[in-house]
Amino acid sequence: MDVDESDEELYKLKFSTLFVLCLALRSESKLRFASKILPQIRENVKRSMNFAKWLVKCFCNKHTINELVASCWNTESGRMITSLLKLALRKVMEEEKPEVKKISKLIMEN
Amino acid sequence: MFTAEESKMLSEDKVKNIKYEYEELETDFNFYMINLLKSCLQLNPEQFEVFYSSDFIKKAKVVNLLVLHPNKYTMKRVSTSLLDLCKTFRAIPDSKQNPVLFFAKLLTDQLGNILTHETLKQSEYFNLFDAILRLINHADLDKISFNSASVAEMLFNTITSRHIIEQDDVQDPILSGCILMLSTLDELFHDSIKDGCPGIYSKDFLNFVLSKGLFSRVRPSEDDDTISYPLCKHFQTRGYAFRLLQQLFGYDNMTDIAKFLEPYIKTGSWRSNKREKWNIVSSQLSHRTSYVGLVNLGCTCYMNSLMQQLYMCPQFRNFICTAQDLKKSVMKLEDNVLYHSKYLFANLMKNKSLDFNPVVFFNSIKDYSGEPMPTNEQRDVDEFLNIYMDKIEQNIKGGEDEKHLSTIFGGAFAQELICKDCPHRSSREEQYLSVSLEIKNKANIHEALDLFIQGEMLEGDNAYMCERCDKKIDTLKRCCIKKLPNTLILSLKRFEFDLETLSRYKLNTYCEFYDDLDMRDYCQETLAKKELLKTMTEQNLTYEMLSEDQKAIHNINLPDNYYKYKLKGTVVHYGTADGGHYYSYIKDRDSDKWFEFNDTSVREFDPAELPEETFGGKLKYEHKFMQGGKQYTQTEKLNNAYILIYEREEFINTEKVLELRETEKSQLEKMSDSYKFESRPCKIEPEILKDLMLSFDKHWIANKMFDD
Repeated sequence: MDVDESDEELYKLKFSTLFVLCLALRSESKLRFASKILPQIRENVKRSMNFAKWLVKCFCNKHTINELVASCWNTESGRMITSLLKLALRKVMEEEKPEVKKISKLIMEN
Repeated sequence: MFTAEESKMLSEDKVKNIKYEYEELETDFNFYMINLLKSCLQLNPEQFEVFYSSDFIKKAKVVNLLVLHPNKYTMKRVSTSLLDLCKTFRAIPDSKQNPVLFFAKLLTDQLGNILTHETLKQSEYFNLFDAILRLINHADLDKISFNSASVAEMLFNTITSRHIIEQDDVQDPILSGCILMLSTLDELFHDSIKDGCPGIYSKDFLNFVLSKGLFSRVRPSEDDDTISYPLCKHFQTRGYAFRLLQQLFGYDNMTDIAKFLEPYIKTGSWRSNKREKWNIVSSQLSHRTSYVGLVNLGCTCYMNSLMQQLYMCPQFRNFICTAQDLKKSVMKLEDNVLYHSKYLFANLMKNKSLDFNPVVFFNSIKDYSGEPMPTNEQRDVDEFLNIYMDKIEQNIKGGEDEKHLSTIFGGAFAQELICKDCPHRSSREEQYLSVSLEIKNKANIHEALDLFIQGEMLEGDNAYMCERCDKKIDTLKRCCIKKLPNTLILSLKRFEFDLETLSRYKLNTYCEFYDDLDMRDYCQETLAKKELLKTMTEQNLTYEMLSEDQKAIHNINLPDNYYKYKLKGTVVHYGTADGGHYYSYIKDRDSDKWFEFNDTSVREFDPAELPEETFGGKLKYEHKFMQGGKQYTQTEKLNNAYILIYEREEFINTEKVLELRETEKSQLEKMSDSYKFESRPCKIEPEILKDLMLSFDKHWIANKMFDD
């Protein structure tokens, strides 16, 4: 079943993700809380293409990559961030697969 | 042991006759009486009515015991015992005897009183009320006419009209109790409260909880730098408020909550690439001592230890905060030491953090060559004091403040030449900031001060040419004290240069110093008077036979408090001449307590340990052999006092005192008001204060975002 993709629901999802990635993952005491809320966010990534696209788009920004990937000193937090990003990339890949196939075919032919 | 019959009689008797006068009861007695009562009632449950009709209950003395008792542990134990009593007898069907219903009604009746008395300690009352409400059987509520909506409204009104009391370490029991109770009432009686008091679930209240209750740092007025929102600052109250927020508004209002919090998270100061920002531990904001430590920038402990000493001197602190900066317009701000001292002191005064980073202050201080001082190079603390005071003087030169500063720290030496075979003497004044004392082979500072004024004889070929006698005369050349400042800094010369090895070494020898110091014997006028009296005795001279100069010396009188000092602090050096660490022991001038300021760490210090920690000398080790017997070895203690800070018990205007030097002693004491030191009130410059408050708010919000 698809997730409710109304603006309000997406906003709530985006805020939860912002809260986890930018705040909860930086706190020792909130890390346990983050590990509880992250599965729900992951679940939403799997079910909502728009949400997954938004997440991938966030990571296309060099400041986000610098803050959350390159400068992440906490192994546990880093693992959580990259696994979420991988999941979002896979979801977006589902939609882009035919296009990618076409492009790769074109490349092979030429 | 009693038989069942005897126990029953005893318990009846006890319940009937025990008169509870809580004022007269001691801590344990209260607790054991309630336990005894519980045992008695267990044996004889029908006696509840007797218990309820006793003065102890009827006059609500039990409630007084919960909110008025001076001992918080007693209140806690009474509350626990009463709750235990309620739990034990909660199943009693008769509503007149059921203690849960009885106490729920009693506590509800007292709620209005409790909320209007600010001086009470209501925490245990609310804890008990909260716990008892959870024991109530809803079906029984009508029996005691408990109206959850009106109770909730009372709590709601109290919360929304509450003024700001809480600090990080000071809890507001009324606020925290009301929030706790309100969330409990919502949990237990949600529907009736929603109908009876809809304001609790309104958007206005949500905004109130978020902006005034938990997050925004807004001051009620611009002038007030001490009071600021949010209402909930104590961790426990914040915990209750978060629970209330979640319970009342939860997922339905998440969009509003998210919109409110989003800017804080987006602009959070913790979102940097620093390693420590990836492991934030929500911690208490300030030291338990209420003092702020200083961050060591590499090897800057010498600066930290000295600046804490200077800050803790109230007269100097007030002087820095109020000093008029005459170079502000011509000097670059980054080089302005006075401005950055004001900023540093304002932070040490107002900052709620554990420590403050003095990097900007440090960078403003350039050494004698005008170069910035490297943070990784250890400097001499005495040398730094001179550089620092030079910089401060630059900014106040020519103004009124110059005189004020010299009254606090500025003393003067007299470089004297005293001819032995003629009555002539010459004296040259030299300003000083600290007195350097040789301590090699000196057991205490009195011996070191004796050596300081000892001087040397100029005789033979080296004899002094007396201009007035026009011939070479054996002369004593010495340095003594001409003017004593209010704050006397003694520097113990522990660093020496060894000509044989061409290297510096540290003297760790034992040198005692005392809480009280009388400087009379080391001052020019005392020495001159002593010498004159000796001459008068030796030569049988009377006062009339003395010259005008000698008469002037004879007539000098200075008040006793001019010479008397008390120890207020010491800078300790730990280590060798090549490297080590500085830290300070300082006496708080108000509380008379001693504290150790060791960079970011500030802790209380027992002054009885001063000799062990600061006098130096040797440390004795005892080695015990397995076969029996002992052996002792000694090593030098590497920690010892390097700078001593003495202050007059009451500051005086030294210049005025010296002007009155020829007044009769009896008159002088009466004139003490005329030479009082005019202390300045401390006032932080508005521009600095505003800047400070903004940074505190940012820091506070950042820290509170990581609340558990």
